[in-house]
Amino acid sequence: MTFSAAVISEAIQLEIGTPKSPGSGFMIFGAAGVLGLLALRQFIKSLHFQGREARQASGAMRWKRVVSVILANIIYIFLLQPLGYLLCTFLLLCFLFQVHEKGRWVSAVGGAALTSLLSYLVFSRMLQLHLPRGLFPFF
Amino acid sequence: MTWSDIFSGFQVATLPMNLVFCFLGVLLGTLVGVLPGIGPAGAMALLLPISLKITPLGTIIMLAGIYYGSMYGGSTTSILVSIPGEPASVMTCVDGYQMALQGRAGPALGISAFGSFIAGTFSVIALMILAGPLAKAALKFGPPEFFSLVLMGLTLVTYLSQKSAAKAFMSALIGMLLSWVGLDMINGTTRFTFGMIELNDGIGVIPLVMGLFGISEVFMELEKNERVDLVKAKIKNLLPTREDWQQSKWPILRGSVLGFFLGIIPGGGGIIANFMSYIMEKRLSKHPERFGKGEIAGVAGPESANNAAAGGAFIPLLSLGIPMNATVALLFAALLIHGVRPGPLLISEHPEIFWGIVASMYLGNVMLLVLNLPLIGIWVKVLKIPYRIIFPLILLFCIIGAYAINLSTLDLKLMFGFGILGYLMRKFDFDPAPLCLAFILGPLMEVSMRQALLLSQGSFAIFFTRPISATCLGIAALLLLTNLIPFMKQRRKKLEEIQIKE
Repeated sequence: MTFSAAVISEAIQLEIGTPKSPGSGFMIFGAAGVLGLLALRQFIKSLHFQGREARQASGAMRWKRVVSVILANIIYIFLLQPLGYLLCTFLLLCFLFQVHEKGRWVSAVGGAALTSLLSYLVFSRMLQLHLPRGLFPFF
Repeated sequence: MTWSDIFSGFQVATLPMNLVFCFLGVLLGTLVGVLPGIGPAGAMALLLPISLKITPLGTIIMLAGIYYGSMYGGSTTSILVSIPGEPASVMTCVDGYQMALQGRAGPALGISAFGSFIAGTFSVIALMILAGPLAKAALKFGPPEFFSLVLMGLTLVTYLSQKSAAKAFMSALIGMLLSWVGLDMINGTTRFTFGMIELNDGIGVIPLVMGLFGISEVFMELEKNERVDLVKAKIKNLLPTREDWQQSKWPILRGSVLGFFLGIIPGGGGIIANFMSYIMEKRLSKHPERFGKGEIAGVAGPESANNAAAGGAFIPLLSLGIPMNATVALLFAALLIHGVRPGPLLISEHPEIFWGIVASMYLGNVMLLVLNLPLIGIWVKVLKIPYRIIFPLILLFCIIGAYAINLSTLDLKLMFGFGILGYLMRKFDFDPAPLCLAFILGPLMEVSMRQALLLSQGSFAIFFTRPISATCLGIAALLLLTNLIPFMKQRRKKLEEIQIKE
């Protein structure tokens, strides 16, 4: 509902126009209005909603797994340019190979190194994609 | 359609590079179909950036191969593991897995592959026959018709959504609003760019689809701890027996016809076709009690239907320029990225693309038959790869794919943002497919509406006085009303219960 309200106010600033001469905000106003009404309906419906059973502990652990992967990727995006593709990807893959099931670190590190190097060779050298060099400008 | 058109299509499709793209597409499609956790939409999204470096025809051949290839691959996991590799193979699990438990995995896989091949061939032939006349009819479409057709399509997609229709509508509306970010195509005003020049061209379709379908699916799979219990019996006798053919021939034919026409309608596609075919075969069978216990018709019909639907979905895409489901919308986006606009003029302006696609679909079906029968052992081995190895690779490909578009981390941020959005949507039972479809069709819808109103000088009657437009709007209104009926029945039931208590 908040989103709809914000979009409607922006649509008004863009100029809604008239049916004879629809402006930039014409369709946006209509779509956001309908969205707001549907959101209001869902909100009212949810007030009558019976709570679900508490999640089991194992479910909560898996939810944490998702959050940790999201955070790892967010950090990756911000470190990609300064550290470069090779190092950043290697660190990310080391973490990801360990997330789903705890295994041997040696194979995770080895797999991460091989994958990041191979992907760099394929995409940067063969397909000529300019990946960030970061700390390794000589690559 | 003439023989020379078909011949020229095969000439183009059999060029060495196009054959390679076709093979890559069907191979990847089968792989994606076999592996739960990533669908054809996610795989196509991953390959969209790479497709920028190849020809438009090569791109569409490869991506189309992924689409119908995934229908073949999805049956393998359904039969061997009872987990649908693709949503379009859900009903195949029911009887396919039972057949595997009875030591008949080979005939189940075999009839599934042959049925898919026959249905795929049927749909290609029907596409060749119907696309031309439909494209000619579509030349009579003006802005009101396009607006109404898109509205009908989006309404039908939300109606057929497996989750709440209201939530599907909200999802579609969000997709529309996202599609209008950037420059207004009519008067050039910037909308919702927040001062970022990169957003003047709008939100890219690649980060959106990769996030919604690729990244969010990974997040959903990470929550699961499922063990994959593969049927241990050796897979043998892949060639169906005479009796198997006797029991399967009519389900295959019926599934082909049903699936093809379901693929044409908006929101249709493999999932609905698979489901409806199963119901139809059970109803028509002389022994319905056998269904659910390893009845081969319960595999042959649904698997044929989902493949035929994949072919049918190309008709509105190529003839009308309107994709009728989210996966085909990616094919639409891929063509647009290459500067080729699908629609009524595609056959006349780019005949080599149209006939090349048609011919490659046939060749792709032949390749899939080879891939799915003799090479079944390889796919069984693929099923054993742990997910902890697969999901980092999927994320890595998504990252490279998103970064490759503009060499900008903004696309990475958008992709993960949509990934989180897609994940939350699935958690709260919002279907992401209407969002994607509405995002792709939103610009067409807005431009058509505004042009129609300019034509009619502000009168909305133009949408109701033109027959095709009025028909589409009528269907959309009917669908909305039929959505309200169960809701009203539920309300009345609750009121009655309250009165009884009082």
